[in-house]
Amino acid sequence: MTPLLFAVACAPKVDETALVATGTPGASDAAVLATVSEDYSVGALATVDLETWAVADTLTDISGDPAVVVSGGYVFQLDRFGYDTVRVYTPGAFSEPIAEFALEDLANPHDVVVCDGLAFLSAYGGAELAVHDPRTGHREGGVDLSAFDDGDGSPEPSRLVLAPNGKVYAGLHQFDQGKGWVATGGTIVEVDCATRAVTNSWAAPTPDVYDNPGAPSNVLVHSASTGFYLLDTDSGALSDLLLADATIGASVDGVAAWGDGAVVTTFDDAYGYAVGCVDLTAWTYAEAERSPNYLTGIAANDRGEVWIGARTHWATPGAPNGALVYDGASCEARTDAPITTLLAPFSVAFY
Amino acid sequence: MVCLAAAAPARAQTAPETVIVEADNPDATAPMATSSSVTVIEVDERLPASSDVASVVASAPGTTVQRLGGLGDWAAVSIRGSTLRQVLVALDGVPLNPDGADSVNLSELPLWAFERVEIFRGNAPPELAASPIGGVVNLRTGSGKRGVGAGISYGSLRTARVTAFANVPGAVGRVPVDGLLLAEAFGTRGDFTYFADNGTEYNLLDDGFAARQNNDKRQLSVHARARVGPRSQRLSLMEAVLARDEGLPGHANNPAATASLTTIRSLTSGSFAWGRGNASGELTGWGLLRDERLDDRAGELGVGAQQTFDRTTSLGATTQARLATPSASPAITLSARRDQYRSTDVASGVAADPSGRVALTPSVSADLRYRTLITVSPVLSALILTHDGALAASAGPLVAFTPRAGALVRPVPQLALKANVGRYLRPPDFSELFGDRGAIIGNPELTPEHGLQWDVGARAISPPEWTIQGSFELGYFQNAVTDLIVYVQNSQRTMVPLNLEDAWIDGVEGALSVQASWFESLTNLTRTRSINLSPEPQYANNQLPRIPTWDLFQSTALLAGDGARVGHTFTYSDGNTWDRTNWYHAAPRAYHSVFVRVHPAARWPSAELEVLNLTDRITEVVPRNPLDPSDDALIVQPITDFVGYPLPGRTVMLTVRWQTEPPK
Repeated sequence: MTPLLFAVACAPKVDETALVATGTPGASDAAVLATVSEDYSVGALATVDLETWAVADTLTDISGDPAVVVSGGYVFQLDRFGYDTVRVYTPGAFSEPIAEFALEDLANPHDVVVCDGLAFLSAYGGAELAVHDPRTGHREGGVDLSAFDDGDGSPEPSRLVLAPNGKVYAGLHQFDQGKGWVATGGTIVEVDCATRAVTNSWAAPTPDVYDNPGAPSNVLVHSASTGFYLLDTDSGALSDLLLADATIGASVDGVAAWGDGAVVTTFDDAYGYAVGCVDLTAWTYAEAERSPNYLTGIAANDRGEVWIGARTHWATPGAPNGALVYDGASCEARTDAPITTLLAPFSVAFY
Repeated sequence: MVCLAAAAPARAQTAPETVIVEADNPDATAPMATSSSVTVIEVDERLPASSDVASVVASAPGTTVQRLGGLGDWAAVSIRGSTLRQVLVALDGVPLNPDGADSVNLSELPLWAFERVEIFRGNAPPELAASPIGGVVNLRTGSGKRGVGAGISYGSLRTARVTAFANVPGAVGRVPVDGLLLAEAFGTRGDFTYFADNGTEYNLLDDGFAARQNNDKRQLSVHARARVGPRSQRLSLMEAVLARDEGLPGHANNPAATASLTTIRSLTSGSFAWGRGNASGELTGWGLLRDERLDDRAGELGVGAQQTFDRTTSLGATTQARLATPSASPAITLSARRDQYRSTDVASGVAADPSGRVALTPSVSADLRYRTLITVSPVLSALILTHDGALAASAGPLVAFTPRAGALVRPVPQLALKANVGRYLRPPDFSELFGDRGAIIGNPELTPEHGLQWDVGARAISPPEWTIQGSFELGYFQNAVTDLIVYVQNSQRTMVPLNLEDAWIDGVEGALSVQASWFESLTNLTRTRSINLSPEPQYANNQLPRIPTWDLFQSTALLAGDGARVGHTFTYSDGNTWDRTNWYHAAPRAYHSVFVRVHPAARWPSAELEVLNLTDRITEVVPRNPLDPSDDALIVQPITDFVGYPLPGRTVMLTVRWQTEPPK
């Protein structure tokens, strides 16, 4: 079996939140979706008008492993595993990016956040947060994370959050790539954008950090092996485990917080997916509904909507693909059927 | 090169359908004598010295060869729009990828060890005990070149090939004996120049040319065969060994510096052929061993550090008994085979449970003749497949019938009308059924990919008394493929194979060969219409990827007796799509290659200078954003068969060859 032809996009994904992640005020006009073909060979940017849900689903071609992030007034389109490029668009103007640049080979960009006018990029294959000027794409340095390297050359930085205190919080997964991607711990680091230095860190197993619009200074943390935590960015305190995945009864795959709650996507041991709701004050969980789809990107907008990408699932290959919309406060579905795009969504953000 | 073209006037004799290859080699396939759509290409002096199996196969109508690079790099073939795995590649009838277990890298096969290459575009002969959807490429050792010879080639990218052979017929007492030994060493740095846009179509500032790194290949092939006895009672033993060590360059945008793959393959076979009166038969047994060591400890290929050792074995036997009468030639064939695959993580020393299967293929066939006018050849065959190992319980036995039939009508000796219809299949393989240890989750519910194919055609040859010899062939085919196995990603790290798609392929194939004492020409033109019948709107009714609509091959040679030959090859394809959405189109591409060979005297060495890709085409211009019709900007991209794996530019090779007997 010649292996090189079977290299698949298998790195963990990133689900981006929207303007809430950057603190930018104002109502969003549209969802921008990175959609991907069923065989993950090609992708396209799509937009959905948030008033009419009118779809424009083939705006421009992108890679087969993309993500979209809105931050700092830009739409970032990341081409991840094996592509390692970034396009920067003016929201709504997708005919041509204002900048496009390549990262290091096998960088595998996961997330980006604009801080002090510069884009801080997490690259899963690197040992830094790369810093680029989003207007030109020029590299402006980086944040050294090699102190958190678990021995394989990368601490696997993934999701980023810009907190109200002006600092960037990054979840470092710390897998050992040399031993079959086994988890070796996990760390959350706090980065000062001006000095580009790590100013604090907390141990947390395989952490993902999420915006928490209901309490922006409390970064929502989910650990793949344990459950939910809160990181108080003012005091620097990481809470004890607040809600265990064992209580949820499934693995949490994506999180989008809104108000006092969060909509989450989960999957069980048989890769059956579901949408559920976490009460961020009582720290309880309620499953909203099972899904016949493979659920991918999830994000909340400032209208209180949570959008979820729904793709073909092996058990129900005939289930319609598209974007599912839930009410962030009530956790009720606003769509009877997915908002259909030619290629199924993989990542979603709002502008 | 097509065997009819080989029929020099002085040698064609009186039976036009009995072409020269048949006269020299009674077991050869004669296109005029079979209903099958088959192209037989002799490996002889008509081919340029740098030819490999891939280039030879690509010269046949209906074939599309896809490469990951240049000489020595991975190459595989699609026939009539099939997937690569739907084509069976066999070495003297022994399958190298039984039941489509993998696609065969044609660059691993030493072309000059074989006497001819037979390309069946459907309705393969029953003695192969296989019913592949895409057809069969059967490499035949035949009688081999007689005598002793050697050749050395050297050229661009430090590409070198050294070949030596000895084929000595003799006798022990009154028993004829012959031995054939061929050894071929091949090596290349493979560091050709390619255009790199760094993966940023909109950013032209980082575009440039780069050298393909870590693309070196070293390969040693040894092909040995001994035969004892006359054809009526002959024992043959064969050993074909390959040792190959290669760098894996990876995707051009993420080139790998140290990843490597080492392959050892050994094929051992023994056969006994007998004939008595009008009865004959053959019993063949074989063992195939293939070891692959992948070393990507640096994780350059992108799925983390890997160091694996994979072993695939296949043990099999085929027996056939035939009866030849004037009106009917019935035959019974029975083939049994056991395949096993095991993967070991070298770093941890953990070996996966071996996967195994046993395949039984019985078939009954006959050639039913009405005088010399009509021959009807029905074949009723079946495949019985059982799996063993740790996951055996989850997959029951597979029983599938693959009946087919062919008809050959010879209204006049110079004309053959052909028709074939049949049902073909590719069963799911180990990974598809049981998964691997990582990305693929097995699906024991998978059913085989099926193909229902029919074709009609005509083949005409010139009368033997003509000064200029030639042949013309025209055919039409349809192939309806159902239950194609498609991988569906089910989470970030896992995907599941499903029987999801159907496809429709039809086309027209034409071939014209002309041969005179001073001139040779071969033209193949194929038009293929392929339609993806996927229920997915993104793929529905699209053209199948990498299957061009038009494909042209033109080979022309001027000869000055046996002393000199000047050849030119032109290939053209009208562009195809890279992906199932049909968003990305490769531009039409045309390649010219030339060679000049001088051979002063029969016992002198010949010298040949060859230039591949004469015009040094390595880039093409395509729309920047195929989804936006208002964007009329164009971009430059490297020419590739697979995105990320550029193809090389001009390649110059110089070859000196010598042998004790002059070429045929």
